[in-house]
Amino acid sequence: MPGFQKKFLDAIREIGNMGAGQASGSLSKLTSQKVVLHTPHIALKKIVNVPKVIGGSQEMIVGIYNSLKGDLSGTLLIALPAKSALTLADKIQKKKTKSTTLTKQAQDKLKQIGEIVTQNYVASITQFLELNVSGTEERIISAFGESIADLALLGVKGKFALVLRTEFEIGSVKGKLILLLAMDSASTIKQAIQKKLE
Amino acid sequence: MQQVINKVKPEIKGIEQGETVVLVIPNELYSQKIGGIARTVAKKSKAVCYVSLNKLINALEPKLKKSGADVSKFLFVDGITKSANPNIEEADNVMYVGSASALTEISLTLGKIFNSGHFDGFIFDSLSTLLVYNNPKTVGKFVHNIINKIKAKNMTAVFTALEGDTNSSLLKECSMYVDNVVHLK
Repeated sequence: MPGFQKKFLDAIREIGNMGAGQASGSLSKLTSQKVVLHTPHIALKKIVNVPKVIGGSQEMIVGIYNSLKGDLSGTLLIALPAKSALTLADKIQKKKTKSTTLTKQAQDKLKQIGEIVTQNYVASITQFLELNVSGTEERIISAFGESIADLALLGVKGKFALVLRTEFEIGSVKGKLILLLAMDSASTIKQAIQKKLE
Repeated sequence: MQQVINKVKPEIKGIEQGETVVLVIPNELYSQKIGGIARTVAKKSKAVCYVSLNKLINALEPKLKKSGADVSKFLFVDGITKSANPNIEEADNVMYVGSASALTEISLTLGKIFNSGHFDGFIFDSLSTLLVYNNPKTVGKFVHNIINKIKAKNMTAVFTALEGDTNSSLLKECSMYVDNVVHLK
């Protein structure tokens, strides 16, 4: 396992927390509901063990997927049980009746959430660490169980990955915000933090 | 008139050549069962078309190999990877379709594959994934369309469905077109 001191992991956790915190304000306005964020969990893991950290849910999961590019490469994923995804899309559209399928319109609304979260996450990284990072186009993915982790890992090469997982609630909707970074990107962040601390 | 029998079985070794079956799998057993299902269909077939809407091919193929399925017999239709990576390149044994929401694209791709005449086995994994984007009636029509093509070629076909993510309306729709609905335990 590559060396990565606790202070750097704590700093990365804090940066992720800032990004998620800013995103939660925007999401709260969009959904007219309080957004609750739980303490982020951060870990450096072998790629094969990443699914266990993300959580291999035994239900259908809908994901709002984004790749990071620039000084960092990785994945930003919002993972929701399918029913929660439908509820969230209904909340944003202010629908009174419950949807049973994820229509194109509902997918577009979920992508809007993905865009807000990515922009805030990326902003916290670029502003604090002075790195050049951006997201690509949001995509809606769906998979059962641990396959959602396999999808998240598509954009991450190498033997190890940095996983930052934040669980959140918006009313009855429960989901996970997952940042996955390849090791070379984790090292880039570490160097940027070191530079800041000098 | 076809008879639909709801059986509860631990495995599907009894599937017959040319039979079409919906297998309802408990969510917690899905990962465990899928390898055995592929192995059974492969044993009864010269060549198998496997539509995967739940697992990326780069994760599915090793899993099937580990379960003892002869993956050299398989052509995979991957309906999941391209939703995250639209620029994925085709491989010799994999065709990619946009996503589980692209029913027309999936139908057209399967039509081409079936018309080649090479395949006598078919696995569709899973109907539950289609329900995220389509109502049970639409999924039922889709299954009917596929079954017509399968029956014309006398193919053995298994459609999987997740017990926790499937509703009775879907099973009712699909039971009109398949030979059996089997609940695995």
